[in-house]
Amino acid sequence: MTRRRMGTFASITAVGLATGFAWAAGSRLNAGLPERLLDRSTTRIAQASGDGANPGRLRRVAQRPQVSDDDVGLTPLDTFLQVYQLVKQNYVDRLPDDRKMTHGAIRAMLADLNDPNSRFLEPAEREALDNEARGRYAGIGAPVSILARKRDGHTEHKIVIVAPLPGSPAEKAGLRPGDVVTHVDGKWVLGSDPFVAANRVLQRVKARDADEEDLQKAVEAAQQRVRGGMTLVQAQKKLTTGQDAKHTLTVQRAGVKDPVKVEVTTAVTEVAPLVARTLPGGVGYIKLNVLTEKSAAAFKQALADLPRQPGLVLDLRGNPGGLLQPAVEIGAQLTRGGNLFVEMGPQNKRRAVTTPVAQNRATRPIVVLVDRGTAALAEALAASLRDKGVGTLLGGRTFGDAMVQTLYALPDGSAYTLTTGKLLSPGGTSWHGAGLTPQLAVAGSTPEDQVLTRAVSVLKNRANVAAAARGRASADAARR
Amino acid sequence: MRRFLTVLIALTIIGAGFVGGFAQEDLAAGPRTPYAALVSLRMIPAKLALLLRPASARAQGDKSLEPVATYFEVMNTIRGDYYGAPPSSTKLTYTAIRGMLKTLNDPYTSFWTPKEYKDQMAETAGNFVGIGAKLDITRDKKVVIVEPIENSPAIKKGVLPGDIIVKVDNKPILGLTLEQVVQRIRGEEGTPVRLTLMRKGHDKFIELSIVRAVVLSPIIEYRMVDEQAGIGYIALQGFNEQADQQFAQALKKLEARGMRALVFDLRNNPGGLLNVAQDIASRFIHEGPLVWVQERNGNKTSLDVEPDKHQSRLEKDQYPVVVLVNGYSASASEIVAGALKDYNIGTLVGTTTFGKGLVQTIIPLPDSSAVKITTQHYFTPKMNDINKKVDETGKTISGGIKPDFVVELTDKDVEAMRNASRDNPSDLNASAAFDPQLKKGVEVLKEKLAGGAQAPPAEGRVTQR
Repeated sequence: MTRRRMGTFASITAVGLATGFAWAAGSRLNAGLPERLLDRSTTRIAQASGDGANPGRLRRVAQRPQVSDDDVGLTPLDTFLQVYQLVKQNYVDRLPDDRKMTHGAIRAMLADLNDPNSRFLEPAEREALDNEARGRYAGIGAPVSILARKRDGHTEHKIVIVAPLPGSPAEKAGLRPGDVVTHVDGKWVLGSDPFVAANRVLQRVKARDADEEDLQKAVEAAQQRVRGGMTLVQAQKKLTTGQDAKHTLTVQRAGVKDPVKVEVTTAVTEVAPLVARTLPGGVGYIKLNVLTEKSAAAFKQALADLPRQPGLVLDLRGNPGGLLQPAVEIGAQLTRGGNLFVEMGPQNKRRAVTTPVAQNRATRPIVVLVDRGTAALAEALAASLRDKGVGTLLGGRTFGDAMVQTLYALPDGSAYTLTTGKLLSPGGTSWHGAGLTPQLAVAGSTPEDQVLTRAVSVLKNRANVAAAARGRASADAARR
Repeated sequence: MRRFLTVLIALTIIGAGFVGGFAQEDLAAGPRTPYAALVSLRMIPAKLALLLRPASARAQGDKSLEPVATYFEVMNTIRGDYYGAPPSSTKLTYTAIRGMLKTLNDPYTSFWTPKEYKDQMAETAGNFVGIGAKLDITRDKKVVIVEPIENSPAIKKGVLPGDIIVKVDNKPILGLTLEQVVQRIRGEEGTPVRLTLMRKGHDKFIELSIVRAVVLSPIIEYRMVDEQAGIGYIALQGFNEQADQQFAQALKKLEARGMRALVFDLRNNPGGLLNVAQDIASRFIHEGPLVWVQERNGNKTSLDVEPDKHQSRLEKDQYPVVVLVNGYSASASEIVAGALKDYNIGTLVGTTTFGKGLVQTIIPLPDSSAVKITTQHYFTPKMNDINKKVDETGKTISGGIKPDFVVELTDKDVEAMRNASRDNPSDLNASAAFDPQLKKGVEVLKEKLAGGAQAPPAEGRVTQR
């Protein structure tokens, strides 16, 4: 048997019977090599913890690493090709089909980004997303967001209710924007790797600061937590898919000390793009529930039916966002066009999202109602209207999400999403993380009729609107 | 005794690694795009026009996925479009390969990066460059020589067990981790390293300059467990390239000390190279197949006894052999134990073995990485399939080799053994008194030497101690 020869299967080097990598290393512990085994395992655990995660969500990334000659992708391509062929030819049992193996490869690459929003989608998951783009929400009927936070050098994720949609099970159950879901059906939602703690004990064992028994305990505790919990994916799946399933959710609510328990039965929620009416005093009112494929056309129709003067109350409260295109089209209808958003892409390259300029279009003053449930593209629309001097934001601080995901379809019906950029307002303001601060603050507990009265009175004093909008925009810009 | 402790850690970590891996995938790959998603539907750029037919550019209605083209396309999309800092294409590729192999659901088919492959090969070769001493760190952070390795530069310069290392190359090592100290002592072959040692009974520090050399790390432990009865003991910790040679030497030395019966300890031996298992088994068995291997095409071929291994009295005289096994005796260990059992040469004592009846082949790749693929099933000489089979709940239905005498090793036993070797670190037999499996093995051998073979207990009965 020859060994250490390069090449393909023709030059097999060694026939091994090692029981896996860690096992093989385990056999050598006695020979003074425990460090190596431990290190390997440590690496595994460290990866599992999502160390250095969330490249796309909360922090700006400066430069892409320089691409070296070795890294143009052809050598790796060859490696992948060879492994695939070798396995095809020589694996002892029947292989999974190509589709499954491909999914495995893609899933792993995306997981390697440690970005909960860059991920592989099974055909069913892609279909659910497509449905949401049409305004059909399954599950509890409230989009949820995974937020990442660094703590002690590792990343913790939490699953947050963005906004219960009108008529949804989530709304009926009294869930609120910003509620953090800690348990589903009595099981922990695992926001971080339970083995991180065990790994720390392992480090201490290596330094002889702790016993094997301590490690055993820590590992058992972690296993316990895994057994008594569910992953973010599993939790999210329960919240956003299916119907007629009863779930008990435990949520943490801002300002409430004890955990809040709610019962919710999933259902398919059809969300109308908007609700339009005329408020007392003849002021037009449009509540945009969500930005779907139907939103822009519906908005155009509604706008045409409403009086132009004294202005429009645009209600974006509880609007979790949606698609980019309707946000652009609605922005175009309400402004004189031009630069509506700025998208910051890889290597922080900026690209303006523009619509044709229409200097002569008569715009109307707008009061934009916002709150904690105003998120993503709804925030983008609000920021754009404000920066372009047509809108005054009234209400509470917004959710604070500006990341752009792109969906890449694959021919077998599966797909993947990738975080491809971050939106800024046309004036260059980033609201990611912090949210937008409205020019006119209104407490969340204010009765609805008072909020609307306030909005109407603002519109009736147009001069104030324009001035306040300009003032606030420059203040926001200065703050950053 | 340290072996039991360390193996305990190893197993724990394997568990943690597996579960951690699961958590990693799910935590990271996890969440759905939030909200109806900031999803802008874009076309996939066709980047591989010349190289490969891109998955996206295929004919309408073609719903298949070609792994290589699709992986390459997705990798390049990530490299080009991802907002964060994307991993290198090498890293992404290795990850993709691992993800692909994971769908095989075979824990033994895996991929090694160039570094992992290099480490693995060094381990399989069983040698390294150094001074040849096992080190450990005590609770009060002293780095102690546990044992200098035979024929090593360390032993030739008179390093003794219990020596405490104070300085390496005249630099104090206080506060360093064991790993860091090892790193300082290691170096190029032929270069010297200066050790300052503290030794019990010496007022002054001992200064030694030791030239680093290739050291064969011992994979074997051996001694006489009962001089009077002539019972020897060999523990094999793995089947690396040195194992057969070291085994032969150990046999020779024990036979020179009057060994008439052997306890062959394969407990916690996870396996190793197939040809080494063949070599070692050949030292016990006269002729015939040692193991049958079967590829995907169903053809079975045998690996037979190698006649040139019959140089010791072990095979010629057919003296009694007991093989100690437990749940962590796997693959190559099971081949040897299975062959000895099928040929009625060894009596197995301990607990049922791991049950890994699969052979992997390691194939190096042009970029110095390697892939390890499960290529064969194996069967014992009597065509027994020892591979573990589990039902849907993960419960083991069958698998492994059941010993002739089932003797458990309890946590209490392990603790007693640990205490015994702590109290008496220089006496290798100290812990043996608390090892019920070894004790049973010695008892079986004594009876055999006395002429009366002890009948194995009825199936399923656990021997009382």
